[in-house]
Amino acid sequence: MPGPLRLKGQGASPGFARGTAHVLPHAGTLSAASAPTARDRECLLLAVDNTIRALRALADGSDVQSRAILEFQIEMLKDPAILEPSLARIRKGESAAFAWASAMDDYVRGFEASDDELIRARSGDLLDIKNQVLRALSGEAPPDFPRGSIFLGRDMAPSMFLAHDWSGGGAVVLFGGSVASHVAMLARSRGIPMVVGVGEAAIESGRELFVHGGEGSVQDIDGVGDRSADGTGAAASSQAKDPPPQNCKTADGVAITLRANIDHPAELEGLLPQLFGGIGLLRTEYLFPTLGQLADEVRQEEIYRQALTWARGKPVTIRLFDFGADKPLPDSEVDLTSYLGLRGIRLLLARPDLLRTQARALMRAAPAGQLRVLIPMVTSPAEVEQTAAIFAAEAAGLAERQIEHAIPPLGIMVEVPAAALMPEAFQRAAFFSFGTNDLAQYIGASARDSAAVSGLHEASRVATLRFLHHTVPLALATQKPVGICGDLAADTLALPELLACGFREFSMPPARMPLVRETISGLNADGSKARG
Amino acid sequence: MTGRQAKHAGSAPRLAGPACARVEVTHDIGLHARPSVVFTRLAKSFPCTIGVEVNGDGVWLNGKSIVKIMGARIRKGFVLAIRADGIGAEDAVKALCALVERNFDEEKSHARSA
Repeated sequence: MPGPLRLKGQGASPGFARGTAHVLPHAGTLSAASAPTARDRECLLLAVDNTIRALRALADGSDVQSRAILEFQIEMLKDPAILEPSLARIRKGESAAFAWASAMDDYVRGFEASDDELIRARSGDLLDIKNQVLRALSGEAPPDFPRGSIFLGRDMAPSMFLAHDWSGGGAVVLFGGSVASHVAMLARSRGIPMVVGVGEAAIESGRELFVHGGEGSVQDIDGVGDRSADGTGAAASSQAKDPPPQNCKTADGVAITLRANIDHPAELEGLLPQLFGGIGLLRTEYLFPTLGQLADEVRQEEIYRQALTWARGKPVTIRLFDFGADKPLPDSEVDLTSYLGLRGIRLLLARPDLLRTQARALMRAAPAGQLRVLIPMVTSPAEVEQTAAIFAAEAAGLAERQIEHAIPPLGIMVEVPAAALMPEAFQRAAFFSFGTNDLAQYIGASARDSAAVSGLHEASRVATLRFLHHTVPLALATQKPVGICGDLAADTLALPELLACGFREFSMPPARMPLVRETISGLNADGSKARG
Repeated sequence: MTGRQAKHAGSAPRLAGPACARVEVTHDIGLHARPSVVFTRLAKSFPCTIGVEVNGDGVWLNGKSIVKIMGARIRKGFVLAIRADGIGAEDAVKALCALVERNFDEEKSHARSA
């Protein structure tokens, strides 16, 4: 019996999936001996024609992004140049299949050898074209896998992704692959969790797996509950016997609250609530991968309730849908990719149907615990007032229908410099949570997703710490709770500065908590290193 | 719109043919799948022959062949010479250069980080 499976790769598309593993068998190698016939040329031309027809049919029923990928394959196949090397090989006596496969392999090799990941990522499309024509030559049906299962393989052809029925859920796990591949783009646009680069793994089909697309991990379902605050099963058992105190203190005795950042209540399985000061950030944008699910109030309520139940009365901060920029709105063809445009609360106020449904679901779940609602990407007090008005209107509707509910306090993400500089203007905000990832990119005017400016991120980080020294005291002066939930909160090198800024509430991925707790216990509340 | 690097016929006397121009690729990713589709489709809309030379390497690729254009793995910063011969040659060169300068009408990076 193999030991528990735990694979780590790169998250290519966020989200969670449970399902049965389906491992793609290795493709057999083609033999040159498959006897050439006089009709090889005609056979190849016919196979290419049939492949174009099949792709055209697939493209006609697809969304814009999928269609663009298929159009590319169609254009390639319609180009007479793609056939030239194959036809030359056939004239020399090779069989159609072998000539085509060898000629395409030569072409693909040039792409695979590139030092540019984006060019390498295109080789997957070319291999897809190659294999589709080979299947058309042999009359084989295109490969598929059972609905709802977790696909595992070296790579996945875009055409396979597009032909598969994803309505039963599932996920994609690749031994190799690239986050820039077309299939990764498709997975992101369809909300299918995907992990790439987990390495060649000996996994048998039929295993029950849990895939966390956001963090790029894959494990046995049995292993999911086997986690503790530091993510290891061994520590979980020792902590179960001797749970350390839940509270965290600086060396000079100032109490610090540590909370968890999570993407799904499923991550809470196996975590002991007494080790946490509650949940500081539950992101909701990854929970519902389709527009249909976003509109499903009861389903949303159930998920929010799970988190509240787990926390046993401790605060649970649920952030409203933070779509836009690098997190596309499911099923939307509107371009929302600008970091400075319609995202977070701006998008929700422009699409109040989404906000109204989420507000109702949150208020219906609220009586199950201590719920706090966090508004993302707030710039002006008017946005908080409009959000509060929508909550009030929906609460009135629930009351009219005699549905049990509660109106939660509304706090704001402080991630836009304009909001950070004037916290006293946000009278309706019940609490402040600094989101340092976005704050840093806005302070440095350097987009997080642009590799070309990644060299500026360190300068942005230093300036962000200076910025926090000025603005956190302003927020604290309002006498409202102030916390931090960005990556910086779990950065042990930044902790002295963050304490010096005045932060006393930190939220981070559960696995980072033991190290943060230990680091803080060696520091004074002013951020200085404790003696001894 | 004026192109950063476009210099029209006359500035490159060694190039034969009725119309020719040079243009630098400023698209972040270069001629990957979608830009290649857009480029070759536009090229195919002209009756004249269209050739593309990459970084002055002396090899003229068929500008209507996506296989050849993709195969050249053209990246940001590469300089293309676009040459057309036949009916509509002027217009073809102008339109194709403008497309490259407009980043293939694709302002947003096609591949976004997860």
